[in-house]
Formats: sequence, C-alpha cells, structure tokens
Amino acid sequence: MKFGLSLPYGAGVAGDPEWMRSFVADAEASGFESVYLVEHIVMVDGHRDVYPYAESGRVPLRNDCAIPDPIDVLCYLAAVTDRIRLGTSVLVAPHHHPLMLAKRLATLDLYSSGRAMVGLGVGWMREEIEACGGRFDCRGRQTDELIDAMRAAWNESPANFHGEYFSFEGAMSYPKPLQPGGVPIHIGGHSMAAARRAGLRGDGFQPLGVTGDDLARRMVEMRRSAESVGRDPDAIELTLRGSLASIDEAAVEAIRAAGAHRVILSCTTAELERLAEQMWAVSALMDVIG
Amino acid sequence: MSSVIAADAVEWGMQLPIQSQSSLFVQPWEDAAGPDELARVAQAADRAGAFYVAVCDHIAIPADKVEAMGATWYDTVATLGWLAAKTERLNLLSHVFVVPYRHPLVVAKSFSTLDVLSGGRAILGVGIGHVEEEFAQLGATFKRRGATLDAALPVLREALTTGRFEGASVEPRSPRREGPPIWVGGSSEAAIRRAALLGDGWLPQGTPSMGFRKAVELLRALRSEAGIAEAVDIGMMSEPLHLGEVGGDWELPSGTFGTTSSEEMAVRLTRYLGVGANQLQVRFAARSAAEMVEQIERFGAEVWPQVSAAVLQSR
Repeated sequence: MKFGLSLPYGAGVAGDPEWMRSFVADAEASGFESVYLVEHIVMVDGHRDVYPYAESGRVPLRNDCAIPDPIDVLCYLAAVTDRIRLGTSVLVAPHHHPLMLAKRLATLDLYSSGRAMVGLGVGWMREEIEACGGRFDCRGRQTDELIDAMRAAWNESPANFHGEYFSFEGAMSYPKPLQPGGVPIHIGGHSMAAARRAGLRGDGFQPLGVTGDDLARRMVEMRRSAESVGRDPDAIELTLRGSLASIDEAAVEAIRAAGAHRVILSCTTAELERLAEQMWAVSALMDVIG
Repeated sequence: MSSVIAADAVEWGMQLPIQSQSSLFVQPWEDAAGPDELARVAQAADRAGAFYVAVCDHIAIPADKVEAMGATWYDTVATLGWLAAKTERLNLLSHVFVVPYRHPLVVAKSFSTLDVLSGGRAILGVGIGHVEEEFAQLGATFKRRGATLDAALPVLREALTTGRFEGASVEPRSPRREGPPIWVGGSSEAAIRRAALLGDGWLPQGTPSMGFRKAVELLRALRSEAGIAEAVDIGMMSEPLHLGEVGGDWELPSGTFGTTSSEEMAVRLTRYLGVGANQLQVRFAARSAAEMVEQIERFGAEVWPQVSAAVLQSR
C-alpha cells in the first residue's frame, strides 16, 4: 500500500510556503509516497452547483481560502524534497489546453527528477469553469481529448493532434517528461463516466469518497472499459481516501480489500507538531503492513 | 501602480540560460545542461546582487520555426516557482509572459501564487507574443492580441491587488498590497504606450524604431499626460558580455562585447543607462555553467559598482 497526503486547505495553510515546506519535509521523512494539491483557479460567490464530495452539497472551504496554483507550488516543493512524489487531486481539466498543460507538467517532472503525477477531473463548479473561459457542458469529451493530446505532445516530435476541441500540427515542445510515456494520469471523480474514462485512458483511478457498492460498481465499469480496448485493468492504480488521524490496520486492510494500491490521507488539523506525530504513527503502520 | 527600483538606484538583471534555447542566443553548453546548472547560475546571480533573473515563455514551436527558435523552452511559472525555493533575494521576472495565450484569471492565479511562494519577489513581465502559428495551436487569437492584452491588464491588476474579480475570489493574494509589479514588454509604439498607461515598468525587446532616447521620452510624456504620478521602471538591454582573457582557441559569440577591463565595460554600460533607464538586462558569453557563474560573480563585484556609482554621480 502506498500512502499519500492531502493538505488541510480549510486552515489556510496553502497560502503559507513555510508551512508547506515543513509539512512535506515531515511527510517525506515519515516515508509517505506522495503529496496532493487541489486546483480552483477562482471560487465563485453563491455558486449553484452541488459539491459532490460532501453531504451538504456545499464545498467545505470559504471563498477566500488560499488555493494556490498546484503546479507552481509542486515545482516549489520539488526544489526542497528528494523522494516524495508530487501530485494533484485533482486538476480541473476544462481550465487547461493540452499543449500548455503538457509543458507545465513536463517541466515539473524535470525539476522533480520524475516525481510528477497528475490527477485529472472534469470539474463540478460551472461558474468557476466559465469564469475562466472554459466550457462546462462538453467537459467530459474535452477531457478525453486533453489526455490524448497531452500524450501526443509528450511522446511525439513533432506532435500532431486533430480533435473536436483541440487541434495542432507540427508542435515541437521540450523538455519532455523524464518518466517514460509521460506523467502518469489518474482520473478523479465519482461518476460512472469517470470510471469509464479511467478504464479507457487512465494510468490510475481516484474515486475519492466513493465506498461500498457504489465503488464496486465503478470498479466493474472501470475494468470492463479497460478490457474493451485491450488494456490490463490490473495495471490501473486505484487510489482511495482515508483519514490521517484515524487510519489503522483494519482501515488499511479494508482499503486494500477494495482493490486500492494507494490511500490519500486527509488531515483534520493544521498543527504541524500534531501532524508530525500522526505521520510517525502511520510510518509505524507502514512497517507492519509492508 | 508603482516602481520597485529605489529612486536613487540602478539595477541589473539577466535572462537565464538553459530555460530558453532560442537559436538566436543559445550557447553550445546549454543543450546538455539541466536544472542543476540552471540553479547554480540563478544562485550566483542572487549572490552577486542581481535585481532579477528572467524566464521566457513559449509553449510549442511550429516545426518550421525550430531552426530559428529552437524547441527547448521550460515552462515560465513552473521554473520561477522552483527558483523561488532556490534563491533568497532576487526578483523573479517573466520576460515576457504571453498573456493572450491564457485567460487573465489564470495568469492572476499563477502570479499571485508565485508572489506568495517567493515572499513578494514576483515581477509579471507581459507581452503580446509574436508567433502566429503558436497562437493557432493554442486556439488563441493572433490578430487582436494587442487589444486582448489591453483588456486583460485591468483584470489582472484588480485580481492581483484585491484577490477578487466580478464575484470570484483569486486567493491566496500577493503579500504586497499593490500586488506584483507589471512590466510591459515590447519595443513598438503600442507597447510603449501600454507600458506608460497600464504598466509599472517597460521591458524593451530590441531597439525601438524611434531609438531608445525618444522612446523613453515618449513613455514619460504619455504617463505624465495621463496624470500618472507614480515612478516607472525603465529597462535597457546589453549585448552579451565577457570580462577577462579569452582562453585557448575560443572565439566569443558574434556581437559579444569582450574586454579585460572592468572600467571599459562599466563606461559602456553606463552609457546604455544614459537614455533614462534604471534597469539593465545583461547576458554573458560562456562555455559552461561554471564559466557563466564566474562571469556573473566578476560582473557583480567588479563592473556593477562602477556603473552604479557613475550613473548616480551623473544625476
């Protein structure tokens, strides 16, 4: 089992580079495999859409909460770490053009000596996507093209792509990612469409917050989709969510039994000393579990 | 809107090697170099007292332009964010960020993040871009790119200073009340006008057709006519420089100003600033990262103090 961490954004820590440095240094020292940042370019007042990852349907962050650009922060953190993998969970795909995002992620991969991972979701806040010039209604198909076009930019030179939303011809872009094939792309999301996308295109699947029968149905759909195009479903990494404060051996076993390769632990405090203690506790758990 | 260079000071900065390998200026050693060498050069500039290091912006070069432009261009803000952790004092400049490739709120988020990460050391250098096919590949509009930048600048300014734009939050905001300074790049009359009316500084890119002295006069006149009292930072550029003996059979790159005399170099650069600029962008001829580091160290220790003293004395 691989152990990752996400940041306690609600406490405003992502606006504090010193806090993030300490947090990631502790995570690396405790043997965590990865750290994950989220993306919201803007938070829109009074958005109508239902946040799918909380029972209230409201995003549990204030609109003035610090949500810095995740790729910029990960580059900063790449400079002060050696081993921990640097990921997103998730980037909001409709914000991004494939050539631009491919360039940014390739550069992150270069600065981190091949430690970049990208979680990609279709986004849920219509107002956010439209405020930044993106399109909400076609975001699923556009995300499929984004993935295919980024892989073209990483693996072909010159790169060509002709799609409904993105087209380019003879595009030359270096540096390339250090990781063979490009930066691994994990599909985030709770829907059946996300499960299909992960099966058809993902290096991984992150249905964070989905459990029980809902998760089982999505895993069937992910595997079926992978097999339909001759991909090996077992090679698609499954990442689930847990809590840093309460994770124990039984919880890890349950996550493993659900088929997960990795668990991203969320933090319930922003107090660095307390977090370091919790990380060391998980470090001991890693030794037990292997 | 305000100047970031002190009223009684002149400053120097440099475009970093390795991160942009345009055939116009790349030197042979850069092709095999990577992040380690890039950090060594930036850290040398930091120690030598440079006011900034700068990073370019190109996303994908059309195949038929690779011979002229190269194809290796590191991502701008990713590079500056990484350098924020690698350096301590100097400013981190985009020279220049092609704003019309992106939505202004995306630009605002990138540079507010950079300003937070660097503790208030970001300078947003902006430009309109020039490669028509690159616009097409990115789905951006080439024809109206000047108007696009003009429309984006007030949005950027508002988002970067208030953390808000039309019912949306862009947080974290810059640690500076006035936000990161915006330096407008370009040597056309339109660029000079944009710098005067919407910028905190001007970054020339080549000699303006009216000449530098006239361009600076025009910029100041436009600013004064518009009733903008805040000081403006005005840049100049030098050719590649080399100080010291040229060893062995090395021939300095064409256009390089090479001399063994720091005094001679200082006199020349002082003259460049005489057009009314308070910031000089230099570059160094070198055969390796180590040699570039040595050039930077010597420039900071031997040349710049003379330039700085001479400019201040002449005022």
